[in-house]
Amino acid sequence: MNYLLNTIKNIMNTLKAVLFLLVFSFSSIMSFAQEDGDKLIGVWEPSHGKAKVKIEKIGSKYYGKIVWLREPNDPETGQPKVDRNNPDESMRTNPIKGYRILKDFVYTGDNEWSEGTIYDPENGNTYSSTIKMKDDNTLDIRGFIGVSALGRTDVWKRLQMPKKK
Amino acid sequence: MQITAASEGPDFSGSNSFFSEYNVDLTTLISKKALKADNIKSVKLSKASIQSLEGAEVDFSQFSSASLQVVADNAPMTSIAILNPILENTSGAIALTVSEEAELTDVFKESSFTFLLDLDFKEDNYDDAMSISLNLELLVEYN
Repeated sequence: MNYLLNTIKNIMNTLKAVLFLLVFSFSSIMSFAQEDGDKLIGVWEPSHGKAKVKIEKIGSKYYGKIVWLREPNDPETGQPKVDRNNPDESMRTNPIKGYRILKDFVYTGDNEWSEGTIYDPENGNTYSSTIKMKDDNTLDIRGFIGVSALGRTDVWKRLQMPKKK
Repeated sequence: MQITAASEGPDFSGSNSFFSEYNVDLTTLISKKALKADNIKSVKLSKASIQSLEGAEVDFSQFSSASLQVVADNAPMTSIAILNPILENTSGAIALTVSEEAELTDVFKESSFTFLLDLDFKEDNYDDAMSISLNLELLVEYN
C-alpha cells in the first residue's frame, strides 16, 4: 500500500515539475516574442528622404508618426503643412508633422509586422501594409490594396545618430 | 463624460502623447438604460474640449495644436477630434473640431480602450508630469 502511495506521489511531483517547465517555457517564448517585436521601435527614413518617422509601441501594437519634414511648410501658404488631402474634410487642419502614418501593426514573428495601415498624406489614401525587417537597420514596407501581391514596397533605413566624440 | 489624460514628461518640442485608459462600462454610458454591447447601433463623438484640472493649471498657449484619437486592441486607431492652431491667450475649456466621420462603435464594444491626446509643444517642457481634463459628449444610438 505504502509503495503504491509513494509511486503516486512521485508521479504527481513529476507532473508538477513538467507543468512548471511548460508554463515557464511558454512565458519565456511570449517574452522573447515581445522583445523581438520591439526591434521596430526607433526613427526611420523612407527612401524619398522627405520625412523621418518615429515608430513607437502603444498597448500591444506599433505606430509611426512623422517627426521631421524636409519641407515643413506648405509652399502655397508658407504655413506648416496640414493634412489637406484627408478624405474626412473635418480633419484637414491636422498638422502633418506629428501625424501617425503607420497604424496598428502587430508583430507576427520572423521579423514581420502585419495587420497595419500606411497613410500617404500626398494623396490622402490609406493602404493595408506589412513590414519586414531585412536587417537591424533596414525595413521593407509594403503598401497594398486588397491582396499583398498588388502593391508597392519601399525601403526604409534606421536613422543613424552621429556618435558623440 | 469627463476623463483625465496624462503625460509622464518631460515633453520635448513637437508632438507628445497624453494617455487615458478607459474601462468601458455600458451600464453607465447612458442614464436611462443599462446597455449591452449588442444593443449599441452607433457611437459618435458630438463635442470634445480640453481644459485644466482643478488646482493644476495648464498654460494652453504652450501648445500649437491638439489631436485626439482612440486606440484599442481589436479596433483600428481612429482620429476623433483636432484643433489647429490653438490660439494664444486661450483659457477655460478649449473646444476641438470633432470628426464628422469617425465611428466609436467598435471601441465601445471592447472591455477597455485608450484615449490618446497628442499635444504639439512649441518648446521643451521639463515638468515631470502633466494632466489634462477631456470633456466628451457622445451620441449613442441603441436598440
